Order: sequence, then structure tokens, then C-alpha cells
Amino acid sequence: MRIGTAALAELCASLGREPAIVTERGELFLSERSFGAIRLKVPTADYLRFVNELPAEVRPKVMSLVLLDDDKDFQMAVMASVKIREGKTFIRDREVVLV
Amino acid sequence: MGNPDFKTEFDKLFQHFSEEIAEIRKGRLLGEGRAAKVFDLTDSWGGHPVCVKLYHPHLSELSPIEYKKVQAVTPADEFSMQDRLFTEKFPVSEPLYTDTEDGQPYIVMEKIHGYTLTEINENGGLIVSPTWAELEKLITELNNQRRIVHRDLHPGNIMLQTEQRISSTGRKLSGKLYIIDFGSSKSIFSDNPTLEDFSLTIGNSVIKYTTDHFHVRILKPRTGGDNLFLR
Repeated sequence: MRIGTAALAELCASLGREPAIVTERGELFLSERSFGAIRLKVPTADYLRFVNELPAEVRPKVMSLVLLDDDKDFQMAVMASVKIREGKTFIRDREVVLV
Repeated sequence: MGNPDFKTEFDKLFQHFSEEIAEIRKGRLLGEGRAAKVFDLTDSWGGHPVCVKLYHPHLSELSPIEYKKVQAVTPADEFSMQDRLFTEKFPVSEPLYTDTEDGQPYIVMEKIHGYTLTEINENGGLIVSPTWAELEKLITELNNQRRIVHRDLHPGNIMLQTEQRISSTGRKLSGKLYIIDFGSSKSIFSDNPTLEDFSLTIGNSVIKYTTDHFHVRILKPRTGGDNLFLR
């Protein structure tokens, strides 16, 4: 998996903002283009198990989830336009659970 | 990443990958080449203008020579080349990420809103800006400053980014030119590309690609003016 230089820089910069969502599993930060950076508080395997156990209706598309190398300040990127409305997370009109 | 729990969960997550690929293939086709098809992802990616280049699965079954005829570099190298050009502000679509899952390589990139020069030509369009001279300058810059030979540069691999529609503008269009599809491209080291840079030797076989200006010369107006069009 490789992520583009500009998109990666934008995601890294988003970590300097307030997180859009915070749960016991981690924090979701949104970049200028509303891509998501997820900084996990739990092991990556536990996070993947959490995503696998989500109902299909709210599970994010696998292809938009990008798993990063261990040496980054965040572990997952969500390469779709993510919106937060009333505490809920949406990709376009579809509610998803990301963290 | 060597954690067995991780591998189990990762594999389980990517069981959904083939279903998503099948869904994408039913979506809007933006373009098709010898090596790949490009589909629109804008709706499912939340309205962000994004597309995915899905390489043909049968590529892996081709002999090395046949493979090189349709795809001279690996998808990962193509991504890197495009990423470098984008970072250097050369007009290419922004590559977002690339990977291979389940034997399916893909590149997700920004979608350019507009038309290929082939589409414009087929619809009788005329590009009033940029001019032919600017297209020629762009190709020369790609060769001489960016040190890349595209080797498959034809009107279908050049796009005009524009908000105008061919049918609603009296067929006169203006916008910004973008070069797409770097699957046959090669980095060069000399100041100017040589004919050798436009060929590829595999064993005893030599594949000769056309030079980057060859196919686009048909876009130069036959008489007068500097607009980009065929007739």
C-alpha cells in the first residue's frame, strides 16, 4: 500500500487539529479535503476486529480504508469525503462507523 | 504486522474486497485502455471527485514481452512517476493511493473534470485556450525538464479540464491540459530523449514506441491559427 505524497502530508497536518470523533478505540481527524486520519488507542488487530464485527450497513468500504506503516503518527487513513453531523459519521448520505 | 490476530482480521476484512470490485465494475466507466479500465468513484467516496484505475486481471497471465507491450512499468512504478510529477506541479491527476489485493492492482486518483482531446475532436469541439503551442511546450517540458517519456501520448491520453460542456458552448472550449496514463512511461537520464528511450528491449525482442509528439501532431490546425483541433 502506498499513499500519495500530497494526500499523506495533508493527513499528517490534520493531526494538529482537534479530533472530529473520539472513542475508546481512537481518534478521527479530518483533513482539508475531509479525508480521515485515525489514530488508534488499541492494537491494529483489535481495531480490524471491531470493523469486521460492524453490521454491513455501517461498515466503511474496505477499498477506502488505507492501513499505514507502523512508524506513522496515525494507523489508518480513510480516503473518502467524511462528514460529521450531530455526532454521527457519514460518507455522502451513508452513515458509517469509522472509530 | 506479523501478529497472527492481525493477519486473521486483515484477511477477514479484505474478504469484502472482491465484492466491492464487482460493484465498482458495474459503475460508470470513464475510460478504457489496453492495460486497465478507469471507473468513477465520486458517489461512493462521498462526493469527492475520485476515480480508480483497475488493471486487467489477465495481465498477470501474459508473457513478459506481451505484458510490456501494454504496461511497460508496474502499477506501483506508474503511481510513483505520477506522484513525482504531481508533487512537481506538472499537470497530472493527483494519485491518492495504490495497492494490490486479491491479485487486483489498482490506483485511486483524483478525477479530472473535462474531456479527452479524442472526445472533443469526435464531437467537433475546438479548444481556443490553451493553444497548440502550449500543448507542444507541455510535452517538451515532460521530456526535457521532468525527464519522462510518456511513449503512449495520443489525443485519448490528453485531457482538457473544463467546466464547459461541448454541446453548450458553441463547441469552443477553454481550460487546462492534463496528461494521463503513464503505464508505458519511462524515466530518462539524458537532457533530451533519444530514439533508444522510445524503445524497450526484452531478450532479443525490441518494442518501439512512438515519440511523444507523434500522435498529437494531428491536432495541429492545417491552416492558420493556433487552436487545438483536427480539421
